[in-house]
Amino acid sequence: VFSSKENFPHLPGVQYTVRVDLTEPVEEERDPPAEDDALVARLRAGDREALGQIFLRHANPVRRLLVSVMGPSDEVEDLVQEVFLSVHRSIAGFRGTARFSTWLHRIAVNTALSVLRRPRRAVAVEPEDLDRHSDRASGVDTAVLVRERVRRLYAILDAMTPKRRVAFTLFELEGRSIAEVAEMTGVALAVAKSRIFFARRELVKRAREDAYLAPLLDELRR
Amino acid sequence: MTDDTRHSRPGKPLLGEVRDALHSSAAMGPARLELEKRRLLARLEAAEEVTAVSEARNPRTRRWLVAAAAVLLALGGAAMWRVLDEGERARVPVALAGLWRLSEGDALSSGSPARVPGDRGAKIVWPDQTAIWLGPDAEISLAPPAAALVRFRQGRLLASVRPVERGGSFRVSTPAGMIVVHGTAFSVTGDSRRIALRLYEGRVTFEHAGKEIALTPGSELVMEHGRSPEVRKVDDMGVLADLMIAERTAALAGPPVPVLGTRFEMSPIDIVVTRPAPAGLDETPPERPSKRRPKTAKPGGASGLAEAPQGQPERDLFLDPEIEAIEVKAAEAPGDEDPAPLIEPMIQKGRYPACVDAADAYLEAHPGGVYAERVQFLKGYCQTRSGNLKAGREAFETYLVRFPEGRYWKRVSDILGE
Repeated sequence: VFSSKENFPHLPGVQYTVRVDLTEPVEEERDPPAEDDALVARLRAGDREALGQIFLRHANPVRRLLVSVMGPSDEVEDLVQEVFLSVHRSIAGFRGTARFSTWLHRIAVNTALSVLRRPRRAVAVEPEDLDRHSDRASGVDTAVLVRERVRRLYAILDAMTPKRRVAFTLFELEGRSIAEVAEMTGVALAVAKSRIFFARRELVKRAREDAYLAPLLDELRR
Repeated sequence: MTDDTRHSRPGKPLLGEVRDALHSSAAMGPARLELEKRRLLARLEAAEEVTAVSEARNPRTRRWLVAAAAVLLALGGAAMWRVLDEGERARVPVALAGLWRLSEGDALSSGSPARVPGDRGAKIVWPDQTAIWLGPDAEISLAPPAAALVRFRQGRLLASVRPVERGGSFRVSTPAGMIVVHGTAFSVTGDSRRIALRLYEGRVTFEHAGKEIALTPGSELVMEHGRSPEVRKVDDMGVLADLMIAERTAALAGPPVPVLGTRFEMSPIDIVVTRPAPAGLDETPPERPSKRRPKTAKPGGASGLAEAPQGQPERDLFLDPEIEAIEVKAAEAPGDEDPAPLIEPMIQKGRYPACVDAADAYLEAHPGGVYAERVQFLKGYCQTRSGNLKAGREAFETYLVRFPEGRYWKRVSDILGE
């Protein structure tokens, strides 16, 4: 690990300390966009194996994104495949004005949206015993507590409109900026912002009634 | 990833925990990635093949597909879908919203409709030996979990379902309602306008418009659009047709075809019997025979002619020049006697092999006899009912070839699924 002070071009005069962890490969260096461009060209030429290479390069980020949006779900495996099949079908329409990965993630978001728009069976979340909750919250079994929190969070998200859910999960769980959320969902910045706002408000309202989620309230309000 | 800008939002440790919990097992290792990559490429290949099939309507590609179909036909008369392993989820490219035509070795689709080619049959076997047989052009889809729900859309489906626990976990949805199977042998035929459900063994219930109709073995439920459900005895012709589906797939692995219709009384065969014209037809106008004769008719005894109202000429059958020609020919063939009085009691008593022998004896003695058409039909019927499905099929096919204008032609076509 080393540190160095850098000047950020978009913030002249401001210095940041940048830490680079050399124990893990840096994605940008390992997967330069130029390689994507070459693979896209091959795929356009009908080389099926190019899709396999694209899959190897991008499947994990796409999977992470889908997990964030869909939550713990058996569907994710198939959805990842659907995303890359869509890439194959739509590659002729990729103009190259954006980076390939941006375009790919937009496809992933649209795939998730199409699944979320289908009628789904609501997951019943039982009312929680506060005593049990306090035992767990005391740190007896943090992993179980977090898993339960995840389950309940997504039970609330299941009841939300798919657009709000996607905006919220991309922003809060995927850590995307509002600009990125807007770009990935194909809406204006203000629309993305309002979706995140209303999703948060809905979550806060529902989380108040849930002992597992109550500790999240402060974070959701920020 | 080239633009992985994910990061934990500062000051939100609990949401960070949620994110970490979600993603703790999200990343696929190299081996898993490779496996998923292969699966992706296999799906891509399958999608391209099906796309090619769906382009059959395009005249430019039809010619190639006809050639491919001919090759498939030459390879065998039936398609077998891959047997599912326990808990296996069948997969098919979801992108294929259209019809999925299966060929030998294909994986079952989950959700996407699958259609059996018009010249083939198909058989699906579950790990517990539950099996369904599908006739030509049958269209179904399987729904998860574990494909225990079969969505039947059209065609003919024969099922032998292992006894299931109380409450039932095997269901067949049809355009008219849901069949809840409790361990049984049954068939369902029809399409969105008419559904006929025949129960051979065990118990099924049919859920329709919030009501449940329970069937007993030997009964048949007919649902027609705009009409009330009707329950009646199983129709004998339907049994033959069900058996013939199974015959198409008899060569395939899996459990044998269930024995159908031996433990209950079926509705009688609707046999049209014509009486040969009396000798000297050219001198005396033929009398009009009845179209039907009771199955209990005795040899040389009561006939449609004797039962006809007095004084009325019975000519309608003789108005058909074909039949008249046959009758004339019959008059020219002495010794050509109606074997029905011999054969029908055999059928009633279930002595099908004896019936086949009698039919063979007649056909050998009178290959062009006036009764040959009906006897050929009865031979096919008895062969099928005796369990010799292949011979039954051959007899029926002979019927279709020899008697293209025959009275049972449509029925035989239906039975064979032609």
